[in-house]
Amino acid sequence: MKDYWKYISLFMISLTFSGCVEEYKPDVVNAPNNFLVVEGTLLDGDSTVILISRTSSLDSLGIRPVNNASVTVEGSSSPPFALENSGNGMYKALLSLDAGQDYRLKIEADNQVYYSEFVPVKNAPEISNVGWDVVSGNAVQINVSSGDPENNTLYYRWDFTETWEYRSAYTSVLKFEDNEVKPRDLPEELINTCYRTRESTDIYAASSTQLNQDVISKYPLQLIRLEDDNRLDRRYSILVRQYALTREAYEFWDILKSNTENLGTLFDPQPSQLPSNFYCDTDPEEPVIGYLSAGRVTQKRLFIAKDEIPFSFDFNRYPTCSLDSIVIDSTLNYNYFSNSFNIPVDAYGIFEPTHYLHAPPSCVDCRLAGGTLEKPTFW
Amino acid sequence: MKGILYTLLLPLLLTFTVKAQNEPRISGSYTNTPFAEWVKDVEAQSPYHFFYKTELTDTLSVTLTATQNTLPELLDRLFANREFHYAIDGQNRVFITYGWEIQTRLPKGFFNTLETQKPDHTQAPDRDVLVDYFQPDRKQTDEGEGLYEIGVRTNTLKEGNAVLTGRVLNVQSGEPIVGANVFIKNPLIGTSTDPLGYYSLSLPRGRHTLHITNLGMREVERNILLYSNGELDIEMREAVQSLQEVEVSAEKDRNLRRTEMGIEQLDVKTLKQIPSAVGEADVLRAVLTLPGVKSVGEASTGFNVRGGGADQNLILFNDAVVYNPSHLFGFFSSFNPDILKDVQLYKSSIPAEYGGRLSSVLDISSREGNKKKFAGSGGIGLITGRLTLEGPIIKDRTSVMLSGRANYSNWILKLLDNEDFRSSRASFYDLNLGVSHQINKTNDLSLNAYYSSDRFRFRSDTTYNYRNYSASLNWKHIFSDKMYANFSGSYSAYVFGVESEANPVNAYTLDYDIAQTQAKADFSYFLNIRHSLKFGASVLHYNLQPGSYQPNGDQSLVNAETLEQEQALENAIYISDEYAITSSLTLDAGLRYSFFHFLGPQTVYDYAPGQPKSEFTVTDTSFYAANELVKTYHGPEFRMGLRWSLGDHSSLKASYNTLRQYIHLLSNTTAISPTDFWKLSDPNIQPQLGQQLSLGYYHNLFGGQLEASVETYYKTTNNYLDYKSGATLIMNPNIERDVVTTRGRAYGVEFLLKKPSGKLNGWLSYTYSRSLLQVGDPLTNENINDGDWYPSNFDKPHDITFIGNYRFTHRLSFSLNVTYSTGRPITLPIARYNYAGSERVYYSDRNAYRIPDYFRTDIALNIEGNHKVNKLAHSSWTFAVYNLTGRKNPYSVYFISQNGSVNGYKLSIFGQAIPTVTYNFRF
Repeated sequence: MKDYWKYISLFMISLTFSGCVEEYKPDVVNAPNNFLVVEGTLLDGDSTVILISRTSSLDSLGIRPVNNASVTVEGSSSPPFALENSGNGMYKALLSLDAGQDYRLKIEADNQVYYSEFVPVKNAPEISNVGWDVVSGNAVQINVSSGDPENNTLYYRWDFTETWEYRSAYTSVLKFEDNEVKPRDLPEELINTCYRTRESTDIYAASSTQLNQDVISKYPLQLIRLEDDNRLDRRYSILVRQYALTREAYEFWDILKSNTENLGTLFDPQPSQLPSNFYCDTDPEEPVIGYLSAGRVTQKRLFIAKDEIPFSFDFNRYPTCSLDSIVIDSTLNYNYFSNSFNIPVDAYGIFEPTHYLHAPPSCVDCRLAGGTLEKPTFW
Repeated sequence: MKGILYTLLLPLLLTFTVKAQNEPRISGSYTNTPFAEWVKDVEAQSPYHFFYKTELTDTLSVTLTATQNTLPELLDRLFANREFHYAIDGQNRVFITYGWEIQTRLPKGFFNTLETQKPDHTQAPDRDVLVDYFQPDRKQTDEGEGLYEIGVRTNTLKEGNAVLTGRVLNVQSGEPIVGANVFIKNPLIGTSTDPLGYYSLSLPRGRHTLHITNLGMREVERNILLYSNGELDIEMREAVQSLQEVEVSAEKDRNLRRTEMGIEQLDVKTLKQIPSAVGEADVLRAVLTLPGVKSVGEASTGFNVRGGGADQNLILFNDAVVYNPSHLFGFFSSFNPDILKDVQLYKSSIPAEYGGRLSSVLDISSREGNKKKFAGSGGIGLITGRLTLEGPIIKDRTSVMLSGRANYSNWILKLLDNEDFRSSRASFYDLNLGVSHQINKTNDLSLNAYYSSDRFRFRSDTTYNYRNYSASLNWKHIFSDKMYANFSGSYSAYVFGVESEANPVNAYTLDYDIAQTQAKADFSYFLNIRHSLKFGASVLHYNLQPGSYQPNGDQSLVNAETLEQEQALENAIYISDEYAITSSLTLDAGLRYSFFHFLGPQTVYDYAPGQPKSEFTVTDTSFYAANELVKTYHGPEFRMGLRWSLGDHSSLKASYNTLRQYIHLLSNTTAISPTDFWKLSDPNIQPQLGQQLSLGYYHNLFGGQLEASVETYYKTTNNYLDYKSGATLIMNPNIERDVVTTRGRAYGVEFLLKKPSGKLNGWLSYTYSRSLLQVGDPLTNENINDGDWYPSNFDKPHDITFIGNYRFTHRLSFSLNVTYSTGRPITLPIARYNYAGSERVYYSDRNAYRIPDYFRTDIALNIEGNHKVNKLAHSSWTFAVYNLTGRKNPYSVYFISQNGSVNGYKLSIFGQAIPTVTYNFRF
């Protein structure tokens, strides 16, 4: 009887609140969409990169960098300074900003002239801490704490670069070279340990205006579910960069975030119009996307080694990998290894090696999972 | 009773044989002689005596030559092609009337017994006996037998009108019936009972058949003989389905007769027939089926009437305002279906007694407790239960009703597999108390109290709760036959709170509350047969706590912040006159004048004129002391209605209304959410203004079996609030800097075909409507869609709704709902770009596209238990399937960038057919 009621209730609730989410691709939307997109922050004493691209329609692929623009920084009381076109829509410079001046960007592209508003130089305070906690028993939450003792910053934004070490399924001590299987030179020729680096893809911005001190406490950045990826399998590092924002810039980032990351539940706000401090001087009707800020960035790096996690875990990242063996025979081995479908891992035999152990490259060569063999300088 | 009538009429009838022989003859020559002089001359030379109103005949002159003519010959000549009529009785009294005829001939079958006494060959000449006014199509009902004599009996009937007053009551429960139609058909004079069941009618003295009709009740007729002012109480019986032979034809003609237009009435029976997703009769969901009413989607609290915002509806529950009418994200409405009596929605002409909201008035009233015996009712479902107990304290005079409803879904949530669900909690309950007491014949008292509470927690860190409180006291007093009054006092409050403890440093509690106290006096005065006046005054005091943000726990660094209280007085006086210009043309003219006083203590910022309001344009800051007057807004509101009756079966109505609203709901979400809050108009936020012009044509077919109507409207609003991008609404002490005011316009046409009664009943409606907004604030740099008109969130041009119910037997009925509407507008992404390491989307103009159309079919089967009188409890079962076709109607469409790419999704709340079972009982 008890089970019966449980069954019935589950049935009812699952039917009654059977909300469901489906993919939706409206066969819209052929509005003209060739708007200029400008991203970047004028950095004081650091490499400034301004990214310029154009929007594309929803069903097209890839981004459309603008490579023919000329970009200059203008100070309110200093001569214009041209940024260097380094291809792929990137315009670079090493700037030294004067805190007493406002700066703007001028972009000339496709016979139009675009300007940003003049923006003040707002320097970020130091990051007090980048830390982490175990949450839900199976995930690590990276967080950032910050603050400004002068109570001047109030609006913060972060982005970060993650780097982590990982291994392939098998460590190969053999290589196939010059049509024969040879031992690798250790440790230089090992291909089992890689380092992967990735930039943040979400928007992290917060304000302390609701608090009585200018303090940010444990603002959550990246959540790593141990089951889902290999970032904490060996050692992990995150470099967090902190930007100080004006209130208007904070609004831009907040709206950008809520327009594109937060929608979906019943009570979420409607998308609102994204502010911009860029405008097209030659065609005021043309919208420009982006918001320019200026100032010094601060950064802090965190390392987490696997043995710092307060419990042990071991997930098989290569469930499809297995070792196979083949008799050592030069003709056979040539046919077997020359087409790169298999890589020799090791050899075995009772008195002398009689078989090679081998596996597919994705199980042996860690570079195939996106990393590089080069150990970063900070590691 | 019959005996008295015989003795009264017999002497008159006996004169039949006497008169034909020696009729007096009249001679004379008259040229432009005033009628009065001519009468004197005739009276001098004959035994006739004239009765007439001088004001009706003073323009009548006589030009004729008489040579030994009889008076009827002369009068026939004189009144040819004129609206005058005459009647001569056996005592040679001559009655002159204008516009209506005194019937003097007794038809066959008027008195069965008398007819047999009357010899067939007796040829009764015309106009010899004045009997009285008489209904030829008189119909007997089992309740209508007999003649009720009203007033002080006299041998002869005086001329003119007398006022009949009384009360219409439910015979089973003793509770008064509100809105019942009391009328005579010839001439058509009628009224409706007031909120305490009283009616007052000014009728020509004499004999009438009084018809009393009400939705869901059996029609009652009373034969009355009205001598002078008097009283008649009438009891009505519910239209019990088992009495198959009784044709329920209540409400017939009502749509034609009342001057107001755009009024929709739903009774509990209709409510219960409409299938719902949660198995419980639901007022708000039923209201949404009415033409002109829309919502942004399922499971949303608010509704939109004729293109108005969700905050522009005045929702009254027993005269007290309800701020949040729903439970559990709108899945349930806040009103317990067991205690409801009826629901009225005013959407175009809003009577002058109501004010304070622009779009509509939804007037929900609960029943009175049973005054005859103790009774109970309730229902049990898997996640809700409800129980109502009622009975007399003093039999026939005082009754009490207590009811409660609770949701107990937590135990189900705990059983679910999903961790987020398991640590979530959701529950609600509500309580109602009603006491009504009849002090004496002229005084009636009722007390109603209501409390509802909702609490839900997402995962384990954030808890939301909200509560509605209301209480109202009504005193109804009858001053005289012609005047009565209703005095009421009410208190309503809405409170919500949010508690977060996810991060000890940021842990907070947020509280908001609004309370209003209101006193009202409403008078009805029946001046005469042509004028019926209503007037009154109300005083309303608002007290708001717009936000209190407090640290939660010792570690919290949250800055305790409390926004300034707001208080205001909203006072109004009104008068309206329902003026019957002719028998077919009625004007209802109303004027309401409202005053809004925003009171201190308050800090008020002045902004530089001609510039956007922001912290940089503040020119002055003023501090006001407690109860000091900060700002006054006031203005007239016109409420006009005109009805032109085009014969017995159709009428044409027009109405023009202007309205003012001094309170705004702040919400920047698509659906109304529990944490949206109300804000009073203040020096920087102007009151909302609205006006509406509507025109309607109503036609009854097949003797009122089928009602057809078409209504069209055009309305405009001003100062409706929209939000700047990035606006912070919660805990914002300077909300005026984050809002923009918009102008709105809405227009539409509504077709309705309704079969109110019969085995098959229901309605079919089609609406075409638009609702558009435009930023109306020149002082803002926020130009939504470049200042062009854009569709509002609830602009759904096409809407077709079918609501049907078929009764197979007394105990088995089947309901079907079909509804289709255009998808609501949405702002769609139109371009992609990369920003901050991720692909993002660029949005179109506000509301430039639409989500897919909405279509839903629901069915329900209602099975009543047997109707044995001595059963312990009567029960019924409802089996329903909501969204039978399982169509995944999108509630919301959204785009998210996930791991570097943009994906579009649509979310439907009810993605499948949802079967429900409900068990209801009554004892």
